[in-house]
Amino acid sequence: MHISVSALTILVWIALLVSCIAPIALLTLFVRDRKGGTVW
Amino acid sequence: MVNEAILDPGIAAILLVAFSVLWVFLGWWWGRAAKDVEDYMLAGRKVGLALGTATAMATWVTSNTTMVAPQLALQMGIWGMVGYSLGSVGLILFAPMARRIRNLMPTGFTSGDFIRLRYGNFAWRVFLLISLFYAMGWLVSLGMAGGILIQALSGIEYWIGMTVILGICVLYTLLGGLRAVIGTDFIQTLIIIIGIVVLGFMVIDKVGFDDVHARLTTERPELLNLLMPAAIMFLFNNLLFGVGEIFHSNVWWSRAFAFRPGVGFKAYLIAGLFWAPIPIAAGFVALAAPEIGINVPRPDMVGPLVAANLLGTAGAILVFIIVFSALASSLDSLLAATSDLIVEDIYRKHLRPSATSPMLRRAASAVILILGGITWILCILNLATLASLLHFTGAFVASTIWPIAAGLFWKRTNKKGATWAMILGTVAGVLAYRYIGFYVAALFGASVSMVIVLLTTLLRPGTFDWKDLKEAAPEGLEDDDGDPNASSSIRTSTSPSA
Repeated sequence: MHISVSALTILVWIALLVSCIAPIALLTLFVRDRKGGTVW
Repeated sequence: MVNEAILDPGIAAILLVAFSVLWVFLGWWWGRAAKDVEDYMLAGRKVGLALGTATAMATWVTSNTTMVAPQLALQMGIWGMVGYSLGSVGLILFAPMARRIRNLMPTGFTSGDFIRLRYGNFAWRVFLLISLFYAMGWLVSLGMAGGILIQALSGIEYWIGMTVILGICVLYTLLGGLRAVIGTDFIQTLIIIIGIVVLGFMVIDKVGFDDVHARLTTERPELLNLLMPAAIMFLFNNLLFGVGEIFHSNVWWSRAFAFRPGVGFKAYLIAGLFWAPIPIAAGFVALAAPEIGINVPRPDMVGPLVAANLLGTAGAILVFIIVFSALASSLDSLLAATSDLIVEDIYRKHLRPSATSPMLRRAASAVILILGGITWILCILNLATLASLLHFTGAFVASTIWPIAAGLFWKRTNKKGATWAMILGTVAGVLAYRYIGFYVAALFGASVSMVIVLLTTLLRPGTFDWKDLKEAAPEGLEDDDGDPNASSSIRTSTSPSA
């Protein structure tokens, strides 16, 4: 049983989408920590 | 020596120098805030969620993620990269453990402290052997990766690139301790993720899913096979390997101790979820190799070679920066955490129980230097490929999963069971590695360990008191002149009995 081209496409696109969200989330958390004085 | 250079050596040297200056400066800058050994080793125990999440991600994104994930995609296909991605399960499962560790051991320093207090001295020493062996294996694999990367991309000799990367990481870790490590990790995480996303989109744009899939169907159909037995075994093996690595390694325990209360669970959970797609994106890059028809002399170079071939100098620069950041973010963490383990569990507990804070700080620096030196020597020997080296350690670390998980949550697990689980699990894992293959070493190690822990817990249940994990904090730690230090939260403990 082989992975289809559409399944491969979906897999990689989901990976890239989550990877796009990650830096935005980290920066948002950093700004929040900074405002709260809890960076470290 | 590899093919002709893909990146001009001059450009590579400039990038190397520029980032090295940046990391060393930041290491020194953040390290100024470290007043005592607890600040140095655990960044004051107040790291917030943003830095906590980023450091967990960055440390787990090693050069292996960016170089071995592509290699495994080329050797094992879809399950190779998805299997690698299951390394995120370790981070996610560690989330409740990080919370538990912080609650049970508010003044703890290392994973060794837990094993010693939970299971006694013999188990502790077995654990230290496993942990230090793994740490050296990981350090060497990272050092080698640095040399391989620079040589593959720019033609600069392996030993020069390896020496520079290792030397820089040792230097800024030495200067700044865990604050330097965590601060630089935040920046490196952003670089890594953004870089891999850009690379992924560029590969899709240049090659496309249809062409990649069609070429693989013609020339390497096994890579698309969802029922490839070795790949499926690898998938579970990698999952257990990752869990074993994270559960036992002081790299993650030191962070659990360093995070602000309430941060550990969220940080590890978010880090695991964000880490998971990275090996898939990196692995996909390698699957484009058959379509573009490049020669891959060494399988762990496939990622950089594909990027450089498709994208020219820009691709080579991008890969260089990504892998350098991934290397540095893991090397610094490993140097710091391994130094902590040696200073706390060997130097203080075995050799100098009355060591003062400045003595411990000096010892930590010395150990970082010594670790760097030993790593350098072992890297010069240029052993097997990165994947096989790292997976050999899986035979060892997977045996610690059940002793640690059960030890944190199940008071009935007894010390003999845990000790034998680690010993026999390791033996089983090594035998499996030798006689079957790397892709089952962790599977066997974890399975044997699990059976022993479960059986001994059920047949000879213990009655551990969780309060025994809270060692008394000292009233005050003296400096070298006998005067009390400002920080009083460093623990004292008695020397281990024979």
